Amino acid sequence: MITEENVQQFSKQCDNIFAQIRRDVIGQNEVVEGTIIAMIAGGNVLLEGVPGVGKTRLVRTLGRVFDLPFSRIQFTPDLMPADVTGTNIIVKDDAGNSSFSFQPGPIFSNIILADEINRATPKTQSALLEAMQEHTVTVMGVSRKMREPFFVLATQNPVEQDGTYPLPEAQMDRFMFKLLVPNPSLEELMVIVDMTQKTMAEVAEPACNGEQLLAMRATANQIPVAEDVMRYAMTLCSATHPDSECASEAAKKYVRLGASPRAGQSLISAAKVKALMKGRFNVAYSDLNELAYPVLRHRMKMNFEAIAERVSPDQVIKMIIAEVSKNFGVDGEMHAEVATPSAEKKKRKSGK
Amino acid sequence: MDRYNEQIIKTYRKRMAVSAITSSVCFGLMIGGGAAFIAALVSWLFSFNGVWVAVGTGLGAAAIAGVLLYFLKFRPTDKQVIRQIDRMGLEERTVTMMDLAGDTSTIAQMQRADAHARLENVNREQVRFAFPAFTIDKYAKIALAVALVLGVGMTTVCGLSAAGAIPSPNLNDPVRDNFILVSYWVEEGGEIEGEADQILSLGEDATPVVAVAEDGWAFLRWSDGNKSTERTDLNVTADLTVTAIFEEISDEGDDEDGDSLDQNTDGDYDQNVPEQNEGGGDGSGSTGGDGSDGNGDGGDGDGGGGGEGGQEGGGKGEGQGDGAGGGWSDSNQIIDGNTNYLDVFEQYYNMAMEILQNGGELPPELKEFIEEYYGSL
Repeated sequence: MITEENVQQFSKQCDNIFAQIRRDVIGQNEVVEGTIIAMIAGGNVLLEGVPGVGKTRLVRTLGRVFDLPFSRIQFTPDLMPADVTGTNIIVKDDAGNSSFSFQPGPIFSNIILADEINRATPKTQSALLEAMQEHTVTVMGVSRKMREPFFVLATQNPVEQDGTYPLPEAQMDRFMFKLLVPNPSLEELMVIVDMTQKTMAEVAEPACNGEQLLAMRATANQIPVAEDVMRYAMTLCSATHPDSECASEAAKKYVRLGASPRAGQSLISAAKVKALMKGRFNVAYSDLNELAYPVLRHRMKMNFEAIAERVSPDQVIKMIIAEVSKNFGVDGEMHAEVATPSAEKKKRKSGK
Repeated sequence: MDRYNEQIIKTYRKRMAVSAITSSVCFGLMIGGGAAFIAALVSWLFSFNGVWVAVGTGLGAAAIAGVLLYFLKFRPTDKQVIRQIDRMGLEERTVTMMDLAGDTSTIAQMQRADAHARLENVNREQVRFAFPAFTIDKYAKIALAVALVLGVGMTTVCGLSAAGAIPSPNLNDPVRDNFILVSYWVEEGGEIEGEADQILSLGEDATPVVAVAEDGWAFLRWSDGNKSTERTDLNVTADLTVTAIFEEISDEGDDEDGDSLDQNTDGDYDQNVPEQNEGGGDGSGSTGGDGSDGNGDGGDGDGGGGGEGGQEGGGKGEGQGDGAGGGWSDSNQIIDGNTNYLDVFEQYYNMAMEILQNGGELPPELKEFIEEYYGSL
C-alpha cells in the first residue's frame, strides 16, 4: 500500500538521481529523463546516436548513481551467445573428478550496457531476448533468474550500417524506449569540453540503490489512470496499425506494421512514473503524448511509401497524436506549465 | 459520486450551458437564415408576396433548430463538463478524481486532495479559457453571417418585389398565363360534337362545339347556364370547363306531364313553357323569341298567333307542342357572345310583367333567366 511517505521518498530520490547524473552528463535532458523513467518503470532502453555524444558515459553514470552492479558487453560480429549468457565449463574438484559448472556471463548483472548492439549477429542479439523480457537466462536447459532490478541499456549507431545487423522486431519490441541521443548544443558542448579538460573522471555518486529503485517502481505503479486516459493511450497504440478499427490516416499511408500490446503496457507504466515525477497523482494526456515518441518509434515498421518520401516514425507519431487528440477533443489542452493564455503569451514573448 | 464532485459539476455545468446555448442560438440562426432565404427566393421567383412567409419560416426554423441542437448536440453531459474542467490546466486531475469516487485508498485520497487544491486555485483567466461564452469557430461565424445576410437580403428583395419596386422573374407566368384549357363534358344522354378538350392561348377563341342528344334524351342546358346546343367561347382568358346537361324524355309528344320538351323538325329539342301557354291561342305567341339561332320555335299551331316569332327568326321551326301557343321558347334564351342581352332581357321582362299583371305565375325557366341576367350584372 502506498503511503505519503513513499511519495515523498519518490520525489526526493528523483531529485537526487537527476542531480547526480547532471554532474557527469551535460545536457541530454530528455534522454536522461527518458532513461530514468524507463529504469523506474522496469524497462530496457535503446539509445541511438552517432559516436561521441555520451551514450556510454550516460549508461556508466546511471550504473554508478543507482549503485548497481554494471556490465558492459561490446557487441561485435564474432560475439557468441555464450559470451553473453555464460556457459557450462568442465571443472575438476580436489578429488580429480570432472563436472560441469555454470560460468555466468556478463549478463548476470543489474545494469547491462549492450554497446553497439547491432554489430552482433541476430543469433547473439537473441541471446538477450529471454533476459530482457522474463529476466531469466536458460543455458543447457537450466533457467537462472536474474537479479532485480535488471535493465538492458543498449546503444547503436544509426550511421555506420556496414557490417551491422538490424535488430529483429522481437528484440526491438523488448525495449521500452528508443531514445535518440542528439548532438549537444553549443553551450552544452562548451561545458562538456571545459569539464573534460580538467578531468575525465566521473564524479557522480550513488543516489539510490536497487531496493529503493524497486520501491519507487511499486509506488509509481499505484498511480491511477482514468478510464478516458487509458482509452486514449490504447487508441494511440492501436492507431499505429494500418488495419485496426481505429487506424489513423497516417498509419494507413505510411505504416506496414504497428505497435504491439507491449507498447500499450510500456506507455502506461512510463506515464505513471512521469506523472509522479511531476508531482501529480494521475496520468495526463500530455504525459502520453510526450512518451508516445520513445515508446512507439521503434515499434512501427514503415512501408515503402514512408521510406520513399523520407517520412520518419516520429513524423508519423506526430500525425497520429494530432488525429487521436482531435477525435478525443483534447485539442487546445491548457497544460499546467502554461497555466493561462497570458502566461503563454509572455512565454512566447520571452522566446522560451 | 460524492457531494464535492456533484457541486463541482453543477457549478461548471452552468458555465458550459451558457456556451451551449449561444452555440445553439448561432447554429439555429444559421439554419433560420437559410430557411428564410429559400422561402423568400421561392416567393420572389414565383411572384407572390412571401415576405411574412419568409420571416415566419426563418424564425420558426431558427427556434426549432436552436432547441433541437441544444438538446441533441450542445447540451453538456457530466463527462463533457469534467473534461472541460480539466482544460483549465488540471491535467486530467478531475476526470481521475471522478473515476476514483468512493475509493478510500491512500493514493486515491492523495489524488483527490491534489485535484481539490488545483480546482480551488484556478483563476478567472483559466475559467474563461476553458468555459468561453462563445465557442463557435471562425468558419461557423462566417457561415452564420452569410446565412443571415442572405436570409435578410432575400426577404427584403421579396418585399420590394411584392411592392413593385423591383421586378420578379415570375417563373409561373409563361406556363400558367399563356395557355388555357377549355373542356366540354357530357355526363349522360348525349355527346359533344367538335373538339371537347381544347388548349388555347390567352384570349384565343375556342372552336365551336355542339351538344348532340342521344335518342330519348333532350339537351337541357350547359352547366354555365347557356341553353344553346351550339356554343363558341370567344376571347377565353381563363380555364373553362362546362358540362352539357341532357334530360331524358319520358313521353315524347305529350306535354301533359309538363316536361316542356318538344322536338323541332331538325331533330333538336326546344323547351316550351306549357304553363304560360295553357289555354293559349290568345296571340301572345307573337313574342316568341328572336329566332337568332335560326331555330326559333314557331309556337303553337293551335293558338294561331304563335307563328310570328318563328317567321322573324327564319321560321325554321314549326310548332309541334300542343297547347304551346306562347311565343317564348328555349331558343330565345341563348346567351352567347353575339346576342344583345339587353334586348333579349327586355323582351322577357315584358313577357314576365304581362304574365304577372294577368295574375299568372312565372314559368321557372323565365324566372331563372331573369335571375341569371341580374346575377351576371
